[in-house]
Amino acid sequence: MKRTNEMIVGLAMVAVISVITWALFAVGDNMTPGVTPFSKDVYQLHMIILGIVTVIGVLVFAAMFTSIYLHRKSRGAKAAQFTHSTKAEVTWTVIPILILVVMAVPATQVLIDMEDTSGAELNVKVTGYQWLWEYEYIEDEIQFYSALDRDSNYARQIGATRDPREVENYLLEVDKRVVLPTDTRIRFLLTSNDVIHSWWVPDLGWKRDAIPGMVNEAWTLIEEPGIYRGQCTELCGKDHGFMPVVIEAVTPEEYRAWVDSQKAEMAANDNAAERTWTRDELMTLGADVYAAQCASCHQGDGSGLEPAFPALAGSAVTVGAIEDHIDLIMNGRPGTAMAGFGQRLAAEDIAAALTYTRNAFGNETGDMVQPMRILKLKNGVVEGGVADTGPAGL
Amino acid sequence: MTTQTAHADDHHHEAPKGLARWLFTTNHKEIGSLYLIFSLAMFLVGGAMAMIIRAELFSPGLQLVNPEFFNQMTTMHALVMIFGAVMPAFVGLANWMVPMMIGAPDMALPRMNNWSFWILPFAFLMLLSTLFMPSGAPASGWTLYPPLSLQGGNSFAFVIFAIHLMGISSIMGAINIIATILNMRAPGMTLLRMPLFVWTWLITAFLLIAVMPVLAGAVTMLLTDRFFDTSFFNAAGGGDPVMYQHIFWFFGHPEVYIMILPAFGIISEIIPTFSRKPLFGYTAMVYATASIAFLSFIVWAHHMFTVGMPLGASLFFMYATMIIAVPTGIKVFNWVSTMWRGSMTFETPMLFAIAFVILFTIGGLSGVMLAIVPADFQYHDTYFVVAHFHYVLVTGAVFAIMAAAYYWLPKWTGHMYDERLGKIHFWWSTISVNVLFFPQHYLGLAGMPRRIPDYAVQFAEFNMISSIGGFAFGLAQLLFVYIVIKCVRGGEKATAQVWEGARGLEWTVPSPAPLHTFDTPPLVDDSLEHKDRLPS
Amino acid sequence: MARQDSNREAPVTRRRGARRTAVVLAVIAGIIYAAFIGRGVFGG
Ligand SMILES: [Cu+2]
Ligand SMILES: [Cu+2]
Repeated sequence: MKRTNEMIVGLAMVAVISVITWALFAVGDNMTPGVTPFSKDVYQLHMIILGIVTVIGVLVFAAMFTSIYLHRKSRGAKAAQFTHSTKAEVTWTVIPILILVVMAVPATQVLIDMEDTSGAELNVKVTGYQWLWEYEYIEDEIQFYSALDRDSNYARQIGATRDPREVENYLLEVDKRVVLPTDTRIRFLLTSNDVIHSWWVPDLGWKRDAIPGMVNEAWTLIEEPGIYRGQCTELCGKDHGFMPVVIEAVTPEEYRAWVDSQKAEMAANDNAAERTWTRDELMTLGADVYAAQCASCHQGDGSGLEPAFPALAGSAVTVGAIEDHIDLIMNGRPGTAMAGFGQRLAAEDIAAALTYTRNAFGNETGDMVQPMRILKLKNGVVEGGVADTGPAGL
Repeated sequence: MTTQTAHADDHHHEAPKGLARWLFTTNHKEIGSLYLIFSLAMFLVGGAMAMIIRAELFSPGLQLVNPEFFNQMTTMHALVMIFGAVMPAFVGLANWMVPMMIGAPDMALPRMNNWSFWILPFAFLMLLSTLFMPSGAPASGWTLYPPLSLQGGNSFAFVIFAIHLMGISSIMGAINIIATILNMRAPGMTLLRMPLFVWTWLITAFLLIAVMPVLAGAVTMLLTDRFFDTSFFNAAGGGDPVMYQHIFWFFGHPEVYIMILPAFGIISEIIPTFSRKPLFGYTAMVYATASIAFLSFIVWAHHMFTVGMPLGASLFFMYATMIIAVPTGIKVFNWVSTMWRGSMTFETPMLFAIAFVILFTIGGLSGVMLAIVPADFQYHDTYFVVAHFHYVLVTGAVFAIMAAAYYWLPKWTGHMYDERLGKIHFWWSTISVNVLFFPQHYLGLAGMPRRIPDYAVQFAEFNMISSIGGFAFGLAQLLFVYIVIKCVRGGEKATAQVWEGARGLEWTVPSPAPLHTFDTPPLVDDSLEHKDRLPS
Repeated sequence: MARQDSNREAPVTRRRGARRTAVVLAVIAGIIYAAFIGRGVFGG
């Protein structure tokens, strides 16, 4: 009698708990299957394990609730006094071991496949900075920085007038996307210039830490063109939440065209520093550079965030001797969060930012810095071997 | 004059009164109470920080705090909850219960016991004071990974000194517990007759002694890297930031079990009591605990699958981690079997114990998922992990502590707590904690990284739900404080046995337990073994 | 009736060997601390 009771209630409990579990899956989000062979493998693995642990959970909880329902004092249950059962204990030691083996086999296969980074057709070096990414296409000799886009950057400030909900792809858009060809085996080389970051695009199926002094490898093969978004996933300081990764996957032909256009642009920019710029040109470009590179710490109005990030409005540097100001921007200030931009930015960007900060926020020094001056310094800096802020060559 | 006369009758030397009594006490019950009160205070402090975190994450955009302060909150919340709330609560429970459970008159080293406690308030005063320093509280996460942690200002030195003090306190506490258990058991109290709470604490204490010095070593090296120009972890100077992570997690994983093994012990006391049935598979439980402790030393790198390890290492740490599921599973199955064919009642301690078994199991199952390396490449450092460890630590460790408090409050105070309020606290906590943490699984799977102060708009709904759950859960704990105070002040008188099904030495002494118990050692024989009968 | 003060300790006969246990454990803790610093110094 007792056994039949337990069977009936047990089955009812399995049913009820299964329905609740199903409802929990139905309302929630799940992992993306992604767009690479690896991400699809990972998704399948995730679903298999999730299925197994769900079934285990449902069965254990059903047994427990059956007991709670039937074996309660208020129903007049009398306590049995058994203290062990070798048969049962061996069973629930052996069966979990078998289940674990079933999980471990596919997991091992997928991992071995992931770790084999050979046969790359394209190599991209990714370097983390506080708080943006640098990308270098080794074969195609393209290099650029990719930071949070301007709209998100405005909307994310405390007391911002823009509502994040009205910004398209809030916090998941960059000023310059990583363009990659589909159907191409791409190898990533990941490192960092300052602290540890982690480069993650869920649609590729993995994240990998970018660690200073170390180069990590990972590979991908994107099967579908599209835009894939991700974020830094290792706490890297105050703006850890604001350094997204955006990949634009295009066909190999479109990728070639993009490479050519990048090269043309770089050639055009090569000479940009050599001509004389007008004040208006410098101020316009300077405002952009400031918003992208400086505003997250020194704030859009130059008020800073004391004590870590000094104000620029009326500061000793921005209205002081111009040589000191240039030196600070080029080489940074060791022991503080102020990085050197001598390697990171183009000469005209630095000149523009200098001009802008010396004239904005009520600084009104009237100074103007020509890109040519910075270019000369930059060449000097490189020859002098002070390359501590730059990407180490491969 | 009157006081003089009163004192004339007192033929003992003056016993300290008031504050001095608590400052100088060497009594295990008083020190136990101090630990528990301290832990409750820190639970509220750490909880307040969690409220700030959840308030900022209530909707997208930055509304309340700047990112730097947000990072300080996540870091301090973890440090305060782990070292200030959970660990001292377990040490407090051990102080109170271990001597009574093994028939010892006190802890083995009572003056050191006083020290282990009184170091703590100063350690936390120092840690919390960094919030008011110019360079602020630590903001690099409780793991203090270099090089990021080395960017902190001078307040970092205070953080490290505070961690050293906490470590010293923990090690002294652990030494005391081991010495008490090994050297002070009543005659006849053989190792395999000890209650499971004593067993789990004995093993936990060994874990503490093995790994707290490791943490101390790691943060010492951080200190010299930051202030004395060494380069243990500084890549530019030839150091290795990944080595810090190996050392830290060699401490960190056993630390997880330090926070859960005593909880296993508590649950293994409570479920038999309210099932009126002996614990199922006592010996298996002891061996399962020991094997979990052993395995905890060889799985640390499962926190580091994304740092780029050799394939062989990844596979080893994956398999080792998965194996932990076996002894943990044995425990869960044994608890269910203890309930099976029992005669259960559902007082508040039992409710929390049942919720523990279910919710801890959910956390354990997501732990198995996290062990699978390729899948961890997706889960790692997302809210899926946050959900996982909060299921294990809040609905695991904290729920066990709540269960223990309700279970033993009548023994400590001599009064029954208000059962109706206890049940309200239970249901309120259990519902809200799931509203708080369950959606975080979804957030992680959908791609939300952890430790970010602001997030993309597609994460808004679940974050809002989670925050609402968080506020409700926080509020419920104020009710808990009220229930405890009410119980200390008065209530229905508790009997010595308190619970109908309670078995074991601690239930043979009156309630409230007098300051000194077992001055003459009790004789323990088979009648107490596995707690199936009370000695008459 | 037994004195109920907060500083009465268990009689020494009831805690035989406790001190030795404590010293051994403390030494172990010290060695582990030194070993891990040593790992940092020499482990490169
Ligand atoms: Cu980052
Ligand atoms: Cu772990």
